[in-house]
Amino acid sequence: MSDTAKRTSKIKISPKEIITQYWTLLPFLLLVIMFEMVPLFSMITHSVSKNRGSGLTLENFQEVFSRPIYQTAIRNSLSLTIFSSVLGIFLVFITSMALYRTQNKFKSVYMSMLTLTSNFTGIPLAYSFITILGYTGVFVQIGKQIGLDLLANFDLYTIAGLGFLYIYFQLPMGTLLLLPAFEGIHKEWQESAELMSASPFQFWIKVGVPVMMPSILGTFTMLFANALTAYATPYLLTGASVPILPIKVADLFVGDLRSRPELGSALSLVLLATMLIVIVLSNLVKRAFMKGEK
Amino acid sequence: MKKRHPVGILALTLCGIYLILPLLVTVVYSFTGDWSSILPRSFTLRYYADLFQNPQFWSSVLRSVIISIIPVIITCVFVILALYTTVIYNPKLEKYIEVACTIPYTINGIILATSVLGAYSASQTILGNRLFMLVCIYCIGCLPVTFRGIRNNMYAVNIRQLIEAAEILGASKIIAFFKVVVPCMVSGIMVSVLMCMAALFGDFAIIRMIASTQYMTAQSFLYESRNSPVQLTSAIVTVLFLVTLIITLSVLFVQMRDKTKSTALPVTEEEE
Repeated sequence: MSDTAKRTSKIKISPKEIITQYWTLLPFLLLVIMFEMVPLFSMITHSVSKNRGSGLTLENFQEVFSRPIYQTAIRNSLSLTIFSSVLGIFLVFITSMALYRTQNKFKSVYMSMLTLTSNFTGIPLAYSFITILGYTGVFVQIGKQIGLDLLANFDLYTIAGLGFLYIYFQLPMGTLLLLPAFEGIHKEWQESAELMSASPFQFWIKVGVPVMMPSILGTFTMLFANALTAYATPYLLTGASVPILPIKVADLFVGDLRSRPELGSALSLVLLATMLIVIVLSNLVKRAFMKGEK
Repeated sequence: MKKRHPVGILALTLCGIYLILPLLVTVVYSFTGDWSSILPRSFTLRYYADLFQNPQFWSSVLRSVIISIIPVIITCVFVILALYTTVIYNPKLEKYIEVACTIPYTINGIILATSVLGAYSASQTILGNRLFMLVCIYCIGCLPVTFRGIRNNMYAVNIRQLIEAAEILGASKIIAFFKVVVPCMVSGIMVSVLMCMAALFGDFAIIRMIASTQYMTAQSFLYESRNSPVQLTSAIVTVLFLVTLIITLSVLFVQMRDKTKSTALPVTEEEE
């Protein structure tokens, strides 16, 4: 087709045809614009607007970074998230590698168990941990009876307790995400590494892990986002005693105190920015590893 | 050549114990009268009787079920409609739809809820209605998984050939799409639908932010029971877990059936 023909064929589409071709996009577009784009835009404008009156300001962000309570919340959130996703990805890697080597039948049963527990989150999970490790929890009682101090003195309602609990929802989700990536490790590679008298450990460090790095990083960012925005479990367990970002954000909108959506928006953006930084960083590292492949 | 390593077996065992134990103890606890030493002293069904006689509990479970079904269906319909245009008329648009559907991975839960609340809480129109907000936020939350499920299935059923064949037989494009293509995808979409339902059923963060007072779901009911005896909360957790179990087992059942039924393209759920 020549250029002119192309142009005329483009012009030929009548408004009626446009409607018949594109009306099915409308509901989706409306939903995405009204509940994804507009709210995001309004969050940004809220975060830089004054509490009362008009005009732009950065005082909301100033307040976020200078008030001790928010500093503590940011610190707690970061340490909880980094701890649970770094330890998480390590445990996830070991578990999914072990699972990958098992027989099919066992594997599918184990995967069903993972799918099941990956939906056991939020408020029910918090209650479950209170039942076993709360102040009068079953294992705490047992620890006291048999004199096992580690169990008897376990304090679930601290940041360390939360960290232990966060691993619970990271493990099944991460393992289910990472498991398919092991299919990419060819048996021939392992055999040739063996022929060259490399130990299995050497093989994984030098070949396996680098090949799987894109998937590992993808899983890591999912774990990171998952932990950073976790709300229900810490809300029920520690509430105000261990301030973390999602709880502080929610408090500024619907808390017992006067709601301050401008400050809340700024804090929410800090949460979002943290996540974006990790995603961008992991994509950069991913790209570096992909380059090596070529 | 699959070797069993003692370290691997140990890892799987420990991970399994860690994941199963809290659940198991909670279920057993809900049947106990008193568990203050190593083993429970007595067993009872009292707490289940109490719970099942509470009309508030049943209505909250019903509300949870309703609110986890409606948004998923709406999202499915919207995404299928949108992909109809992109597949038939303008494939270039698909990547923009994909971007829109991937954003909720990052802007999830609390961030999404606060942004919508900030934008519309003062609105006098339907946008300010808390239930409407809740449904729409859930719809956005379902986008990533629904989009993946639907798109993978659309390519698995070879949509273009099907539509051409139907057109030769005299059907219009839109009829061909909804009478031939969509029914082929139903069982494939079921997996993502059920996964979204399970996730929405377990939500507490969004519901608390948006409509905690107007619309009490099972999760809020569980939260409000925090001063009740541990046996009662364990019983609620057990019942809610059973509901999730039913949904999850349906997922596994659908997956199993599809695997044996066809050798169609595997549906890969990759992140991002």
